[in-house]
Parts: sequence; structure tokens; C-alpha cells
Amino acid sequence: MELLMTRVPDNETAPETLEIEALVRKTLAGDCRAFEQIVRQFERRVMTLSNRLLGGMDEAQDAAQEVFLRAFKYLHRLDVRRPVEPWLMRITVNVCRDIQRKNQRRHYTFCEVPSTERETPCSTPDPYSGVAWEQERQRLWKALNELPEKERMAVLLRDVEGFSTAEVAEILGSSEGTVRSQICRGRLRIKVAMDRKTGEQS
Amino acid sequence: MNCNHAKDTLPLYVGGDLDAADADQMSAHLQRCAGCREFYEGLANQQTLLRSLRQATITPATLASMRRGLFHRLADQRLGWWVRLERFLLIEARRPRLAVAGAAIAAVVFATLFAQLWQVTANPTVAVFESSDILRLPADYREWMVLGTASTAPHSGNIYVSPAAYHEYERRGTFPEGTVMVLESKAVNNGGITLEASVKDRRFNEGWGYFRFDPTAEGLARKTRALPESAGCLACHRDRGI
Repeated sequence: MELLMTRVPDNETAPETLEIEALVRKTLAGDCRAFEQIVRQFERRVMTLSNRLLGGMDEAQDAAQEVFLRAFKYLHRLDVRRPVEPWLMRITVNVCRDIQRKNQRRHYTFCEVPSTERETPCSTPDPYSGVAWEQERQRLWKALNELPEKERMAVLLRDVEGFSTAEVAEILGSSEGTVRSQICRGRLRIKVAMDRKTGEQS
Repeated sequence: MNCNHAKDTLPLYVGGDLDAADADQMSAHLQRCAGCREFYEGLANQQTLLRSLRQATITPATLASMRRGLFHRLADQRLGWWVRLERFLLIEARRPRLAVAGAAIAAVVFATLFAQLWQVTANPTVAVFESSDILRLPADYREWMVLGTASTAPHSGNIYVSPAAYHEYERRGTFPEGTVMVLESKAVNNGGITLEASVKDRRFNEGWGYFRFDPTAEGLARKTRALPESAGCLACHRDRGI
């Protein structure tokens, strides 16, 4: 398949309402611009999740590229009648898992909340800003990453990424009931860890 | 609801993951129980904190750089033959003309398989009986292999056996149940042939039955009953050890 390298200029935003089915069909017919529009619709979501799973913007970029390469390759398997986002998220989870495995770190341990880029410095004071709040977030992030892998993924997708339980189940290729109990155990374990650390500090 | 159960399900309640009825029960319990309320508040703070982790923002510049790299890699990507075949089957094959062609190929394959199956069933290599005791003459016995030549009276002529039964004999040292041996001898008086068969069948004494397809008005009989033991076949075969 010949790929057209003409690209939409970066400042041009793709309308959210683009018919995904039409875009998929065009991409499969060899229209690379159509695929770029798909990428633009979902890139932020894919990058954010990769960044959170891998803990670095460079790795996240590589992962996101790999995710879209796989999506392009297997686009014909996508059921266009169903939402695209969980499908892409599932690929993202798998790609990040592969990268982690390749790095021979079965469980990635994070020291910091993954890098955050800000376009403009915050001018209005954040009501939650402050050293204590930031410390709390760091502790929480650490507690989250110390969870068993399955619980960590379920809580991360549900609470941090904000997917519904049904979507999390689809992304992880699991049942809703299983995911619900993983989320329940995960949240409880985080609370226990946070309470213990508070106890140690005081 | 007791406190133990409440604490087990509060982590779901706090994230809005309980169904309406359970959530109502939990709300009622929290109204009454200060201990669970405190536990709940801790969890609720934790949820706010978890949601705050969502704030990671990614600049358009980073996204643009990712996209540049992606399309660069995409230009180099070649789809493997397996992916192309899969695409063809999933997408192209849905077109009517190709679907018709595909159906035609499938029909030919199916017909060939069916014909082979029919051939096998129509020309069995084991004895076929009608109403359990009338042996049918195997139609294609002449395509079988010649096991040997009978030269001892009262027989003279070729003995045919199906290759499948013979291979089984080679492998195990005995003929399988249902084996048919057909002896074709030249008839003494009319220049035609006479056909006799022995069948390995445990219903007969000592496991073998003997048959003769006598000539009829329309020609040679195509089916016959077993010869009675009084005909002496078994006794003679037993004496000669064959």
C-alpha cells in the first residue's frame, strides 16, 4: 500500500464529529490523511495513558507511535460499530506491557508522578496547590504503583483515566465483575497503604 | 447492613460503582454509622487525589513530534503477507463478485470431497450384507490386489482381497473383521466364470463364512446367502490350514 506523506498542518484541528467508519474505510483504501485524522482524534488519550504506564515522555512517544502502527496494521479487525477508544486503549496497554517486558522490569516502580508538561504557567492559584498536597499526590502515586499488576491497571484506568467499569473490562479483556472486584481491592489497599504511611509520619 | 459488609463495599460506593439499590442501602447506613462515615471520607479524599493525577497535560508540540515520527515509520512499514491475506478475506471478499467466486470454489471443493466420500461408501472394502445374511458381491473386486492363485481342487483361479484388508494383515498378522476374499475361477462348462467368496465374520463357525455366487437367468448372481456347513467348505479349509 502506498502511503501519501502529505499531512494536515499541525495547527489544523480535526473536528470531533468525524465519522470514524468513513475514516477507517478510507484508510483501508490507502488514504493516509484519513488515518492521520484518526490519530489526531485519539493521540492525546494514547499518549497520556502511555506516559502514565511508562513514566516518561520519550518512552510514551515511542509507545504511542507503536500503538498507532499496530492500529494501522490491524485496522481491518476493528469493529466500527463499537467505540474505537477502548480498542486503542487495549493496544496501548499491550504495547506498554511489551515495552516494560523488554526493559526487563516486570513491575515498573515510579519515583515521581509522570512528567507533566504545562503550556502556560498557572496564573490562578490552585486551591489544592502547596507542598503538602503535592506530597500527598506523590505518596498516592507510589501506593498505586505498589499494587498487584491487575489491580493497578484496573484502578489506573477507572480512577485516573476515568473510564467506565465496562470500558475497563473491555480494555483489559476481562469481565466487568472481575474488574469491579479488582478496583474494590485496589482502592482498599491504597487506603491501607496511605493510612499506614500517615501513621508512620505522625 | 453491618459495618464489615459496608467496609467491603465502600470502595465501590465511593467511586459510584454500586448499583442504585445497594448505593441507597449504603447511604442509609452512612447516615447512622459514624465509624463507616469516617472510613468513607478517607476514601472520598483518596478518590479526589486519584482524579487529580489525571491532570498530566501534553503539549501540542509533543503530539506533533510523535505524529511526525509515526508517519515517518508508517512510510517504511510494509504489511506482511499474512496481514494482506487477512485484509483480503475480511474486506475484499465481501464484494459480491468475489463472494460468488469464493462460493463457487467452496462448492467445487465440497463436491470433490463428497464424491470421494461417496466412492468410499459405494465401494466398501469390508463385507456388505443385505438384511444381515445376504452377502453382496463387491462390485470392484477386480480392482483389488491378487493375494494368490488357488490351484487345489475344487478351486482354480485368482484370489482378490482389498488392499486395506491386506495392509491390516501385514501390520497385525490377522485379517480384520469383515475381510472379503473373492475367488474367480473359470467355469468348466460354459466358458464363463464362477465367483466364490470367504468372509471373516465371527457369526460363523470358526470365524469364516463361505459363499458362492451361482449363475442365474440374468447372468451371475450379485448376492447370495452363505453356504451351509454341510457343503464341507469349512471342513476342507480347516484340514488344509487355510
